[in-house]
Amino acid sequence: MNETASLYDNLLEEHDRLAPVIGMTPAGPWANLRESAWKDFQALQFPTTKEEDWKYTNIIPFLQPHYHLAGRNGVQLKATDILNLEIPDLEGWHIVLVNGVLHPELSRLPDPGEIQVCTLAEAADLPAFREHFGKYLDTTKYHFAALNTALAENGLFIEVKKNARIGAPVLITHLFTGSAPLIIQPRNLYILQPCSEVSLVENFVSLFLDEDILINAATEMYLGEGSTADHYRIQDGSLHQITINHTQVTQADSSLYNNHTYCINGRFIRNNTHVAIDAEHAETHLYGLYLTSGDQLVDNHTFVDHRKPNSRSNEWYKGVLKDQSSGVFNGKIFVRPDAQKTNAFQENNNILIGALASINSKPELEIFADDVKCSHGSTTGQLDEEAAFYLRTRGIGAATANSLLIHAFAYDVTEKIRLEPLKHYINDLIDSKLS
Amino acid sequence: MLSIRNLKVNIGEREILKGVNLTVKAGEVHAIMGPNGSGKSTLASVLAGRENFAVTGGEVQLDNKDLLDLSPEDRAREGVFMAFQYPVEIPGVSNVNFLKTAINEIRAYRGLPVLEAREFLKMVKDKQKLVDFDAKLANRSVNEGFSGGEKKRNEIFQLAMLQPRLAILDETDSGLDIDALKIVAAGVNKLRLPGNAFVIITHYQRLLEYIIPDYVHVLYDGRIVKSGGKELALELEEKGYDWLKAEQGSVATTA
Repeated sequence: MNETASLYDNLLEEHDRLAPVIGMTPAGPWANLRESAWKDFQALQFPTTKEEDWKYTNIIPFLQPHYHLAGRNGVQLKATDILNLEIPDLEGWHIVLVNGVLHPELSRLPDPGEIQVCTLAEAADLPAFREHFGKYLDTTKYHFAALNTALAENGLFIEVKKNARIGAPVLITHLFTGSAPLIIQPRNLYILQPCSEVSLVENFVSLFLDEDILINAATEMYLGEGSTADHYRIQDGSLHQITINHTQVTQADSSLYNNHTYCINGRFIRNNTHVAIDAEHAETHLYGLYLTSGDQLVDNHTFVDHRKPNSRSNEWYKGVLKDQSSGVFNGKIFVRPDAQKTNAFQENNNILIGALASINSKPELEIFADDVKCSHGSTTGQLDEEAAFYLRTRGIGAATANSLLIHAFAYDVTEKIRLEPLKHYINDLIDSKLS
Repeated sequence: MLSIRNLKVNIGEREILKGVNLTVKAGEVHAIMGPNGSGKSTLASVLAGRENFAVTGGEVQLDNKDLLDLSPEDRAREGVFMAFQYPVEIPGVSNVNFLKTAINEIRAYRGLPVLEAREFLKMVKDKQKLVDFDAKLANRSVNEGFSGGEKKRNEIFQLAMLQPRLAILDETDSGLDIDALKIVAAGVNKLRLPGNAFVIITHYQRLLEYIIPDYVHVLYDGRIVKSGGKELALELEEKGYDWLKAEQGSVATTA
């Protein structure tokens, strides 16, 4: 029996059961979107390796039929449970979501005059919600984005108000917990109004998780004119976590978007990080680091879509892969005919440790304008044994020597972290991952 | 301090060292000279613990401890230091952080507490001055973008910081102009103490004009074929190595 078909069949059944529960009624929020996305998902179903976008990542074995939609599955956590989820010395706001649901009683929410934070359902009548929600994700192309749009229960809404410059970082802890095989579908909308500025630190972690869960997250983010976002994402889950994360960023003129993605733990991670630079004089930086070991599979698909002239994008992803783990990097840069004077740079470097680790690295440049500067590079190698020997002859143990070299390799990426406590936290994560 | 007895080493099938004997006592400076391909650098590498060599016979003891049984890091922690002929560039690892890590791992091995940041920085400053090493270089990534001379001077700076009991200098003079050579030699001379020893491996006598050795040995075809005082170096400079080759050839025929 085809296992995918059976999870798919389960979803068809659950859809009918859940529709009224999650407000999939004609009067519910985003009802029309849900309906068309559901049709899209039924047309697309789950992807197989026959599709170019999934050629190197076979997700089928991870889509077991035992998963069920969470369906307003209430989880009770105490404030003490989440104490360890703070990032030491990172002083700022803290938004806590449990299985995709905002928990204000566990959070330290910012001043709503500067940043509005609420659930998507609560936001449904806000002008910003109506202007942006569902406008940027293409559910006709992306299987999981379609499934998320159709069946997401709720999610997080953040609106940074016009001209608001938020000095303190906003930590968003996405906590996953549970003792049943759930499908959890966080759905988020982050909006930066013109000339606003914010640092968002999304930390994906798990607590008391003793069953496999399938996380299918989708985030839309809009950067208004002249706004700046530092967007950090740390994926540090458990081996029970199967994560699919689709992020669609859309930039307006003169905005600056910095994305920093750290894939540390989790059985399976597939990130689609898409940036539409629908803007002139905008700037985009995508930095990524994936560290994999054991049986991990981490797949980063990025897509930078230059739609208008005079913008810049810069991308640097690095990976260290150990044991029998595997990685995929697919970096697409699309320069449309109108996007003259585009400057786009992309680099992907990998280190394989051991004979069984593997990486598929694929730059994908499609350039339809003639006056542009685009470059890309991809390298895969091993740790420099001569350098390790040199360090060891100075009394540094083999494990520390390797750790120093890997930190050095990752340095181009980690040095871009502008929040010192966060840099410290991530360097510690890298250390504990390597030891 | 160091005792090498009948050391035999292969690279692959080829025998490079064919029975080397050498005894070095505390406070001594030994020079090992010899033509290209005689096995000088192999000797240095084997002592430091490089892994692509097969020791097929003999033993090496450092203060009665079997050195060949130890990992490269444990040899360093026991007090062995090798200045590389070709120091490695390590982008992204700062010189200072690297030395702090090294010193603290060595201290931990010896049961000593971590060196406090202030003490460490004072030591960096003092040793920089002692061996005339540019402070700017100390804060850069290890050897990255350094000139040949700067790399060699960094080796001597590390030597000063780690304070080993036995320092092996592998062709430290190669690629140095006379000014750099003098600075390197002056650094080494300041680091000579009654409790430590140096083994200086070199092709030319030049370095030995500035670092006066107590003993000179000639390594030829995998064996030490001649030992003497510092005047032996001058003799080699004058006559080259050919007369040795002839002598060895005749020994071989008479044997």
